This record gives sequence, C-alpha cells and structure tokens, in this order.
Amino acid sequence: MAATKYKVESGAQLLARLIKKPVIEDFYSNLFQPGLKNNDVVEVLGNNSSALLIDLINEALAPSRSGEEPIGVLIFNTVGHLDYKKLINALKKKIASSLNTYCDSELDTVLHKTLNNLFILDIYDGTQFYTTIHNLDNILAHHQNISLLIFDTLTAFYWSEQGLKITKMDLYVKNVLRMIQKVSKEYKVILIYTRPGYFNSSKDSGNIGEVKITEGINFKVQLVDNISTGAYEVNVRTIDSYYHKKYLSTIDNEINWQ
Amino acid sequence: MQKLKSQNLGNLSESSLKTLAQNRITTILDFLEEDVSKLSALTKLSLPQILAIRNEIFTKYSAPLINGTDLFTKVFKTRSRISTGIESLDVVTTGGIPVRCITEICGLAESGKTQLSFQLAINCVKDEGCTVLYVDTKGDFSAVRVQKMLDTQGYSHKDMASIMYKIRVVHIWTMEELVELFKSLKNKTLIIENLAMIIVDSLPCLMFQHLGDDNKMGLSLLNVLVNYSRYIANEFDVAIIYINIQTRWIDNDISDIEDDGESTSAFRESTYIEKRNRCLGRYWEHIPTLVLLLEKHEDVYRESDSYTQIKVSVLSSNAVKNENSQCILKLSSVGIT
Repeated sequence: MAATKYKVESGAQLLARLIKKPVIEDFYSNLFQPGLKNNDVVEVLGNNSSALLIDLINEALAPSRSGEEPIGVLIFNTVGHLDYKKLINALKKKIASSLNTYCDSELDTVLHKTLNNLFILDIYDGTQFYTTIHNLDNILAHHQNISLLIFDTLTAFYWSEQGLKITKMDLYVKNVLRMIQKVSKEYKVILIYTRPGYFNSSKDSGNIGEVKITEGINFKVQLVDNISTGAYEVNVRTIDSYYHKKYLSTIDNEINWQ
Repeated sequence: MQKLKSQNLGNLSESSLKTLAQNRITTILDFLEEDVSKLSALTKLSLPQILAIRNEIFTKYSAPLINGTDLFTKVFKTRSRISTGIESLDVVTTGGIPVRCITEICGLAESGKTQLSFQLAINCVKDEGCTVLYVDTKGDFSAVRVQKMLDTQGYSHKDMASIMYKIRVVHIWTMEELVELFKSLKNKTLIIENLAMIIVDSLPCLMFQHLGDDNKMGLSLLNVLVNYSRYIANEFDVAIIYINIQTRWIDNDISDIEDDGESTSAFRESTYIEKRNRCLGRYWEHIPTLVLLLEKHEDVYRESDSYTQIKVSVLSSNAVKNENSQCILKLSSVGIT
C-alpha cells in the first residue's frame, strides 16, 4: 500500500521535478533587495496596488535588461481591479520603447508573442477559487514557462465563507497560502499576493514596521498611497531588514522609482 | 462550498458518498484535499476512477485559462465604456460608465443620485438601444418622472413607450432576493435580451437590515452579491451601478499641537469637524472600480429656467488618472444635462 501511495502521489511531483524551470535571480530589484528568486513569496498589503502589479507583470513579460529571459505569468483575478486594457497598453508602450525600428506590424507581432506568456484566471466564487488552486499543478505542468504566480487578491471570498464561526483574518490568509503552496511548491514559482489594507486580525498588524515577518513569506510590502499626488511610499519588511522606497505613478500608469 | 452529493459525479454511488461523509469528506474541497489512495480505499473505486472524478471536478468548477492573446481580443474588440450621454460626465469618467466593472454613485440624501440613475438609464436606452435593468429597493422608481423627462425632451409617445419598455424595473426588498435575482441572471434562468446596464438603487437600503448582526450575515450576502455581479459584468459585458449613500456627522476632533514641552493636554484646542463617510463598510470600500460622489452645489432660480447644480467628483478610478476629475451637472425638468 505504501509503495502504491508513493507512486501515485509523486506522479505530479515527479513531472514537476522533470520540468526544467528557468532559474530566476534578482527579479524586480527596483523594489526587492535582493531581487526575487524562484520560490519567493511576497505579500503586498494595501489598496490601489494595480499600478505596481502592472509594472511587475510587464517587467516579467518584457524584461528591461537586455539578455534576460521573459517569465511566464499566471494571474488569479478575484476582485477585478486589475485593468487588462491598462496592462496591455503599458506593455505595448514598453515593447515599443525597446524596439529599435518603430513599425506597427512589428510591434503587433512582438506584442502578441509576449502576450502568449500571460495567463489569466477570472475567479468568481470560493468553490471555483479552491478548485482552481487544486488544478494548479495541471496548469503549471501544461504551461511550463509560468514562473510568476499572482493572486489579486487572496482574500476576496473571505466573507462569503464565514458562517456562525468566524475565522481570524490572519489565520485565513495562512491557510489559503498553505493550500496554494502545497500544490505549487514543486514548480519553483514566485508567488505574489495582494491583501487589502483592512484585512488584519489586529490593528497593530497593519503596521509592518513593528511586526515580524510571518513564516514562509520572504517580503512584506506595504503600500501607502497618496492619490492626489500620485506618489506612493512603500515599506518593505524582509526576514532581516526593513527599508522604504518611493515611486511615482504617472498619468500613463507607469512607475518611476525614486 | 459545494457539497459532494449534489454533484452527480460519475462513479460516486450513494453508499460511497455515505462512507465519505462518515469520514468527514462532504464538500468537493474535502475530496480534492484528501489523499487519493485513502479515497480509493473508502469508496472501493480504483485509483484511475478516483483520478477521473478529480478531473471531472476540475472540468466542472475550475476557472478556464485565458491566454494573453485571447485577452487582447476580448479587451480591445468589445466596448469598455458606455457613454453617460452627458458630455461633461463622459470627460471626467474618460468615456462613461465602465463595462465589466462595478461602479458606485454615492452622495448625501437629496444630492441627485436617483435622478442621475434615471438619466443614465434613459440615455443608455435611447443612445445605445440597449436594455437596462433597474433594481428598485426603495419603492420610489417614478415612471411618471421618467416619462416627464422624455416628454420635455420632445419625444413622441411611441418613442417614449419604446424607451420605457427597455427600462426593466424590478422591486427588491431584501438582500436575499437581490442575491437570488443575480443568481438567476448568472445561471441564465432569467434572460434579459441586450442587457447593457444594471442599476441598483439603493444598496444600503438592503444592507441596513443586517446592521448589527453578530454573525455578519450581511457581509456574507454582500460578498456573494459582489461575486455574482463580477460574473455578470465580466461574462456578459454589462456595466453595474450601485447607489450608495453618504452619512455625515460632526466630530469633536482634538488637534495635535506640537509638543513644546510646556503645554499640557489642557491647552489642546478642540475643534468640531464635519466628517463624511461612504456607507457599507471597509469590505465594500474598495470593491467599486469607479466611485462618483455627488454633492448638491447650488440652486439657480431664473425666470426662464430654474435648476439645481450637482457637483460630481471621481473618487477612485481604475481609469487613467485625469487631472480634471470634477464636473458640474445641471438638474432641471428636462433631467440631468
């Protein structure tokens, strides 16, 4: 029995191991110090994280540094705040600026080729959410180029699942994360998830400067936005450091790091 | 979470389901999380059969994977905004009410929310020829007012009738009913031809019934409603507008004077500040993609025409940030222009 169990259970894992994953090092070092690598987990805490996510996704799909391989991206869209039109337009602009000759047909060809590396899952309810998470190994095995997994947000179905007993918000995040990692770990993906500013069990945990990093998370990124000026302050906590960054979100929804 | 037994999954017999239930495997999530060989032992099915059931669950419930290229087609080949029919409002919203999104119109009482909803419904029908579903939760949808607005704009009786026919009004009195309505739209048991916009006037009206519930039933229902709304908006290319209200109160604020070492709290000045708040709480706060805040600006009385000015501010928006995010609308007998 034990032998059978081992064989059956390891099928997917074996496949995952056999898939040759590109080694990611130093991804998005504008924000992350050191840059992200395979298996890193990032929590983005705060509202209005769309501009940052779009920049991250586009950096993965069309790296700024020459010679870097593009990274496939899979997005779990559970709140619908990510504006696809804005995402594609920003990507188009980025590609256009990297092409030496500007010609519409060439731009379109490159854009479509780049978009082939992007995958979206529109999720509408809890059942679909969890089923899709369990189906992740099928998806990741089929699309081997996916190395960046984004959940926007992790907590969209929290309230619909609360009955007479209410799960603490921090515990909920931990449980969902554990469920995702159980399936995705073998595939060496970078996992980034967003969490709304209010989604905390205690008031203090909203201030990451004072809170220790949760086990299993490599970076906690807190966004403090100022909509009127378009300036964002970012507080980043890692296991052994705490630092601040700033960026400006322009009218074209581009990000300028300062 | 969906229960296993209601799913009619291929090989799962009644007795297997019973055995599974005895081992606390009742939902499809329990099934997916359980060790495959344990499931096989419990149900006396072979491993391939168990895997087939797993796959059946995935096909049925897992979200379809959309590739970037298909996304490109969806986003750029279909319209992303429905014009409001009011020029200045179209400018501040960069083209109108966003399709596939949730929009909120909020404001204090008497700020013109319902009037704007009427106008948006009328304009959507007459300019785009689409159908609008108007969910009335307060029982104050006034067909007479709508007809008057159309009449002053010089429409013939026939045109008026055809416009009004395309504004479908539903009266809803509880959150449960609203959730049911949206569920039947999602499942296509209720089909409204050519539906382009859903207006719910207003949401707090229903949510306030759950105010103070210890078990957070209201929030749970709101979450389910948001889920259905997102599905309907995204899959059927519909714009959904929720009317929310603003509350205001006077708060005693203690201003922080810089501590110069001498002053004590007794010297601290207390000021009274008017505070305003969008209703429906922190969960809802970031759900809408676009929030339009209405404020009554000024009443203008002239012999020729008297009207009320309404100030609209774009509070949060996913669209390109527009420096010019406020406009003034004119509410008169013709409607809102």
